[in-house]
This record gives sequence, C-alpha cells and structure tokens, in this order.
Amino acid sequence: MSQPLLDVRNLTVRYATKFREVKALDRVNFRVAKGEIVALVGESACGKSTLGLSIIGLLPSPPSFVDSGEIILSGTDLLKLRESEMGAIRGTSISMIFQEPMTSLDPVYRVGDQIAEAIEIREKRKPNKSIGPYERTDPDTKERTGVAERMLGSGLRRHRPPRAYSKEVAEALGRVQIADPLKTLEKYPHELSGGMAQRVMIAQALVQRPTLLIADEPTSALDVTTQAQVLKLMRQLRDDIDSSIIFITHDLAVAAQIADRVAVMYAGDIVELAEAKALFRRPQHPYSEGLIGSFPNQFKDEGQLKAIPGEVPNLRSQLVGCKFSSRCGYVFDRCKVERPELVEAGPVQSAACFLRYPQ
Amino acid sequence: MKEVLRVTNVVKHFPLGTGLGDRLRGKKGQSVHAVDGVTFSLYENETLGLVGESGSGKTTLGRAVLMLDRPTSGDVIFEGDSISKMKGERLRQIRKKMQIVFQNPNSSLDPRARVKDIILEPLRAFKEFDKRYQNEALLKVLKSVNIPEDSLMKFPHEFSGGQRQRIAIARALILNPRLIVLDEPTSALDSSIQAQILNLLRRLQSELNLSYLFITHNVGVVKYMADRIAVMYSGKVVELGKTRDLLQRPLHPYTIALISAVPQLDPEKKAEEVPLAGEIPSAVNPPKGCRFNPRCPHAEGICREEEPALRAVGPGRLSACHFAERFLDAPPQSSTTGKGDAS
Amino acid sequence: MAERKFLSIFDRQETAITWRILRSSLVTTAGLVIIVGFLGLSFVLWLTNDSILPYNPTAITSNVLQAPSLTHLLGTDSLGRDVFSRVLAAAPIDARVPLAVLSVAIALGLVTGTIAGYFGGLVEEIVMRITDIFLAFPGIVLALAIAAALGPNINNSILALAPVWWPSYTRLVRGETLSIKTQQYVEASRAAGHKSRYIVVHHIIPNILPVILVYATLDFGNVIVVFSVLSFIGLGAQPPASEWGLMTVQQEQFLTSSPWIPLAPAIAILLVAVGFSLVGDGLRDALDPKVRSLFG
Repeated sequence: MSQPLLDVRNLTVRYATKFREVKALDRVNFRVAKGEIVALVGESACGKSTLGLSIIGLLPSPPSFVDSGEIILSGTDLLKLRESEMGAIRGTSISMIFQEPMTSLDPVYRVGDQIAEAIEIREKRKPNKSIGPYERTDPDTKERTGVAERMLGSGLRRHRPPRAYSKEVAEALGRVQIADPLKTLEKYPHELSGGMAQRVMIAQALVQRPTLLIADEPTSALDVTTQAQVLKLMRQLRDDIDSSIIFITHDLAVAAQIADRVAVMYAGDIVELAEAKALFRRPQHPYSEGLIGSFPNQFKDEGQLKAIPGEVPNLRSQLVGCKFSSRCGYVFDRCKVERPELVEAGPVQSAACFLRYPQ
Repeated sequence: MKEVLRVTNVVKHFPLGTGLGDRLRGKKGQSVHAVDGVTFSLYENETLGLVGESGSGKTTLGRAVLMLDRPTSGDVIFEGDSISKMKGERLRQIRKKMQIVFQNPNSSLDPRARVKDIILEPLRAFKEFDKRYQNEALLKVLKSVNIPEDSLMKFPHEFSGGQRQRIAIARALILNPRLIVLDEPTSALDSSIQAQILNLLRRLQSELNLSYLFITHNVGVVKYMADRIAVMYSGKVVELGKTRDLLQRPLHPYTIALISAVPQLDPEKKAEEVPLAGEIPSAVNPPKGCRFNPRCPHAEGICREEEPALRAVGPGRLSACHFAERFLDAPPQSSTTGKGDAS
Repeated sequence: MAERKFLSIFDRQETAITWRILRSSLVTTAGLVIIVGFLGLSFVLWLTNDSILPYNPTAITSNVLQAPSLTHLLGTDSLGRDVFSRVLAAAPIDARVPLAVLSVAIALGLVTGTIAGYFGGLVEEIVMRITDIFLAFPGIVLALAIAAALGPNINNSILALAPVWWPSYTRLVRGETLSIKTQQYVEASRAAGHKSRYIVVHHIIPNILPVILVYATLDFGNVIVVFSVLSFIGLGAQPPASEWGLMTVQQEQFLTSSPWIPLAPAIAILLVAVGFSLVGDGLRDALDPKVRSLFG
C-alpha cells in the first residue's frame, strides 16, 4: 500500500477493572487505503467494535486502556492528540455510524435539524461546541443565543441551524433515497422506520464528507430487504465522496457484498487479512475456513454444516500460543506455545497461522 | 404422513385503546392486524419454516399456535383436537406436547434460578412426575443437548449464549413434546455457534421424531433447516411450498424480492436485488387489495382492488398472487442454488 | 410444589461478589460499620435487657447537667440521667420500629403489588386506587392522626406508621411486576403450563426482592426520622423512655447552655439515617448486573 490513509500499528487495548482484566486487542496491525472499503469481521468479543471505537477515540477509558500502539491517520498519530484536538477530527475527518439508528438520533430534535447540525460542524469546525448552543459568529443565524441559553444549554430553547442549510439537507436525504425529503426533514426520529433512520444516519455521514467512515454493524438491526438497499447506498457513498469505509459486521455475507478487503478477527487478533475475492475463494486461516464453512447455505438434504467445535476462549485467562488452537482442526505442538504473526499467504492475502509460515 | 398441526384461518388482532373522544363519536376501536387469516398444516417429523421480515406476523403466529396469545378467530387443531377453545386443565395437559424455544437466550432463562430448576420447571407443573422420574428425565435431556452435569447448580449468567440456548432447548424437551415452536432460535448467537445449534436441532428431530415450526428471517438458515417454507408478509402467508422449489423458483413477487436481497457469500455475485420501493405497510390500516401492491413492481389494477387468495399454482405450490403463473417459467434463482447444484 | 430452596441472593458465590462490591467502596464500608454497630448494639441491649449499660437510663439522680467527663461520657441531663446510656438505650427502640414498619410494608406491598401487576384489569384498578388514596395524605399528618386516635406509645406508633409506608411499596412492586411479567422466562413458564400463583411466587417475587431490599434500606433512615418526629410531637414514645426524638425535644431548652444533651440524640439519628442511606446506595450498585460483571 503506497501511503495508507489509516495505519494502525501494534495496537493493544486492555479492558481492566479491579477484579477482571481482558486483552480486547492484542498487537493489532491494520491499514486502510484511500477510498477502500475494509470489512472487520468476527464474532462476539473478537475486538472489532473495540478497534473501531479506538480509531475514533470513543473508547470509554476507564475501563479500557490503550497499552501500546499507534493509530496514524494521514500522518498524525491520533493516540497522541489531546481530547480537544481529537474532537476536531470527529465529525469532520472521521465519522461513525452505529447499529441502532434509533438511539443514535436525538429524539427531541427534528431529523433535518440533526443533519443540519452536522453541516454546521463541518462549516464552522468548532468541535468543542458539538452539542449545545453555538457561538454567534455567523450573522446568518436567526436565533440569538442569550446568556441564559448558553448557561443552561440548548434544552432551554431549541437551537435551529440556519435555513441556509435546508437545501443541502434535503439534497442529502434525496441521495439516500428517502422518498419525500422535504417532508422527512420535519419529522422526529420516532416517526421513521428503522431503515429510514439508518438512511438518515448515512445522510448525516454524507454531508460531513469524512475521509474515513466507521460503520459499526449498521445493517444488523435491519430487515434483509432494507439491508440490501443500505449496502448499495454505502457503496455509492464511497464512490460519491471518496471516503474510506471500515465496515464492522458479524455477517460474512454482508462483508462479501460490500468489502474490497476483509480482516477476520478472533479473540483480539486479526487472523486473516485478504482481498475479499481471495478470502472467500481460498481462506488461508483455519478460523476463516471454519467460519465460511459454517455459514448455512445448503439445503436440508445436502449434508451437515461443518460447525467449529468448542467456544470462544475466555479472554480473562492468559492465553498461551495461538488463540484458536483449542478449536483448530489442524493444530500441532507449535500452535500451543507460540503465537503466530501475520505472514503472507498469497499475493493479496496474509494469515496468522503456522501452516502458512515458510518451511 | 400424519398431520400434527393444522392451522385454519387464524386471525390475531391486538386492539388499540380507543380514546374517550373517539368512543363518544361512535368510532370503532382500531386494532393491529398482526395475523390476518393464515392456513397451513405441519406433519410428523417435518420442519415448516416460517419466513418473514419485521411486521410479517410470524412471531405472533407462532405464539398463537401455542395459545400464548389466543387467536381472535380461526382454529388450531393439534393432533386431531381443536385447541383454540380449550381452557384450564385441558389446555394445560395439551401444553405438555407443544413447547417453545425463544430467540433471546438471555431473557428466556430466569436469571435468579439455577439451571436444574429451569430445566425441570415444565415437569413441575404437573403432579404426576415424581422425583425419580424427574431426575431420570433431567439426565437424559442433558445428554441430548450436550450439557455437562455439573452445570445444574449454576446460574444462567455463568454460561455463554450458545450454552444458554442449549439449556432452553433442554427445557423444551423435558416433557417429550411432539411439536416445538422455535422463534428465531439462533438469531442472537454467533455464526459458529449457530451452526452447532442448528445441527443439534436436526439431530434431535430425527432422534425424537419432533415437528418444528421454525420461525426466522434468515433465508440461509431456513434453507438448511426446513422441509417446507411459508413466506409471510403483513400478517398473511403469501407463498407456501417445498424448500427447494420455493427458493429456486419463487412464485410471488415478495419472495422474489426477498431472495434477491439476501447477501451471498461470494463477492463476485453482487446482489442484483429487485428494488423494493416504500416501507412495510401499516398493520393498523393494511392496504386495500393485495397487501403487497404498493411496493410490487408487477402490480396491476386488480391488485389494488381484490385480495388474492392463497391458491395452488402447481403441484405442492401455493401462492397468493393474481399473476403467480407468470413466474412459473422464470429461470431458477442462481442465488439459492445449493452446494450440490451446478452453478 | 416448590423445589427451589435457594434464591440466587443466598447463593454463596453470589453473596461473595456482593460482599466484594460493598467492601470496595470506602463510603459504603463506613455505612456498613454504622448500621452493623447500630443493629448489633440494639440486639445486645435487647438480649441483656439494658443491663450492660453503664448507668440506668431512667434513674433520676441529683447529679444534674454535668458536662461530659470521664465518668459520664456525654454528661447528664436535667434529671441527672446519664446521656450516654440514654442514647444507647434508645437504639433498640429506634431499631425495632423501622424493622416492624418496613416488614409490614414489604409484606403488604409484595402481596398487593404482585396481584395488581400480574393480573391487571379491574383488580389492578381497585388496588391502585386504594393505594392512591393513602398516598394522597401527607405521611406525617396521617401518622399523627392515627397515633392520636390510638393513644401515644411505641407499639401504636408502628400501627400508625405502617399505613403511611405500605402504599409506596405496592407501587414499587407493581411497577417491577409489570416489567418482569413481560420477560420471556415468565412466558416460558406459562408455556410450560404453570399456574399464575407458581409464576408469581417463583419468578416474579425473587426477581423483585433485590429492588425492594435496596429501597427498604434507603428507607430505614426515613422511618426513624418520622418516628422521631412523632415522639418529638409527643405522640410516639412517651417519657421516661429513651428515644432519640423524644430526648431531643425534652432537653431542647438546653441547646445553648448544655448543647450535648439535645445534640447527642439528634446526631445519633443523623448518623444512623446516613449509614442506612450509604449502604442502600452501595447495595443498589452491588445488585446491578452490569457492576457485578466487572467484579467477576
């Protein structure tokens, strides 16, 4: 990769309380090129959401702690930034959308206003005022934010972003294929269906024009027909504004449909990193192979699914060797004592497995 | 084949409260038409998949079959007896033969009860099972679902999602039922665990001669589990047929759209999904005529006027579309070829 | 019938976790020390019939208004009685009254609340409206009225306070019942063929108990305070009994001249009420599943 947009190096994140400590991410290395869609795929507790949240700096700390590593976005190590500087980056360079669109939208504000707020942030780049009343630097703002409002917060009197943005908001809603943009702008989140709400979130991301969009299971709460539409929209987003997208999902098929490259994660490690076509044609890690094999895609009379035996290991105990060894069909002695690194396993693939080590 | 369950014209409406103002004006109460006239049969040792998206009514139908929510009208016949009017002790006795496994393994097990009590609970509803019988049944069922005996005194939160679902299945099995309603039993589980549970369910079906009503929104799962599939939309069954036939040659526009929207595991086969305009219709005021007509790319005049009945369109194929015959000659859907078929 | 003998709150491992969480907070531990001291003292005094006190709390002597000294840790009051002994002697009373009132409130609340919440309909309406009627009266006024009617003494105080406390527990229990009723494990129980009584006793009540426990612990201090007010006004404990509220008002005139006399019992009330409040807060955290998962 020539000059990656995002370069995550050796990232280790620990989740620690007084009585429990878990390594959520274990020396993860990961890159995203400009304009590419990378899927982070894995089951629960694999660390995919933790990785996404670390990049945008939204990991609650405590109880999470970054033990080591760097997250370099266009040359800047995000982990070394102060919170105010990081705040400037969120909503402008990096955006995130979440699984539950209903809880990501504030129920007391109209949908159009929330998108307009995103535009406002982009225009004014005043990150530390991302909630609450804005300073009156823009003469176009109709509302006057008085002392009382600034002291008590925007709950006192709703701040409506200037009308000037309405046109762009309506346009954005149209681009995400919402049927009646002008009418929808006036609606409150609870008046929308799940699919529409998620499209509003995407519209919000569209207007922010981020260089990197992190999407954490954005379609998991949606019906399959709505999901198909949203996936198409996201591909479009990448084409329209040349954003890179990190798409976090547990659904392999969704990853297959949307991603250029896929990172398969297991228990805090990236176990395989490959171009999508290569991964699904010839997975190079036993876990990827198992995951693909256990995907139900055959008729009842066509034999049994090959399930991966066992369960995800308890991350609390200090795991020695390859974390997948307890469930791996190809396990041998080295796997139980040494941890494999990601090595090349094909022209566009790498896997963290001793089977792929050069003999 | 012996018929275990027959559902005839089952309707379930949930009344919405009428405000005083409306009542004074003589307006009749509105209700949510969750299930609006469903008919099907389920045979011995068979899995009928009930497929639909949100608002289709599939969960409500499953619960209505078990009389957890009594149907507003229509009949449910279980092993020859009509149970929709049964109450009290008679219904309780029938309950021994029909059980349910819920979607969420976290909320379907009482967090303050031990595993032993959770699994034995159905047995304890009936006085005739003595301690010795209870223990034997317990051990037998534990073996069937692969849970070690030392789990018995533990609490649900000490187990993973997959293990909890096994406990829920054990609970459903302990009364030796004939029919189990499975409401999205693997939707809350990781994919690798899902495969384990699905395999377990299949094994149990053949070992214990069970019939399953398998409710899911996941087409891949229903393909693997079901002998026949009923597709539901907006409270009605829009298509019914053998799994292979239905998935390879769907005869209803909604089924076609649904299948085409399912993401494939092959990146080279990008979903050529049939665009579905609009949203799921209101369950309170369903559209006139065919409920799918506002979103159907093939809709014509009659679709907006007359509701199509679920009718035979070929051997073993039922479809509720005025123009179902049009789809008989369509090429087989490539997205649902099985592993054994040539692609 | 019921086979389950152990509820999860009595399970050894579970109580160990609860204990760990309580101990981990300095503030909660302080509260625990206070209430354990208070309840322990009350128990011991009750057992030994006050005999271990340094002085007889009701003995009138001529040694009046002594300042605190080594012989009288908190001095003596206007009737020559040792203040320290009196303050301690009041503990069993101020323990017994809240325990009795809350037990009645919880028992009544559980019965009426679960019936109202689980069965709904007309039953719920009737129960809740009766509850509303009781709640409409300002608590102290109601207690005063009943106490005045029954005659002022400690046992009648319990009878006066119970009707004031009971309705909020009914409300609480009903709310919790409503939310637990919709949980899938209750449905599973219904699907298995169990009758309503079984479900209420085996599923609903055990899942409500933690909330009630927290609420009652926080409430303990409130009962003491209101009982003290009753005594303050003269409708609760009667002289010469030692009761903190009573002691505070009887010796009030000495606030400026011999402040330790009225202040000591007042501070005792404060201390115990705060102690229970702190423990109640700690318990609420300790029983929260999210917090518990952090502790193992």
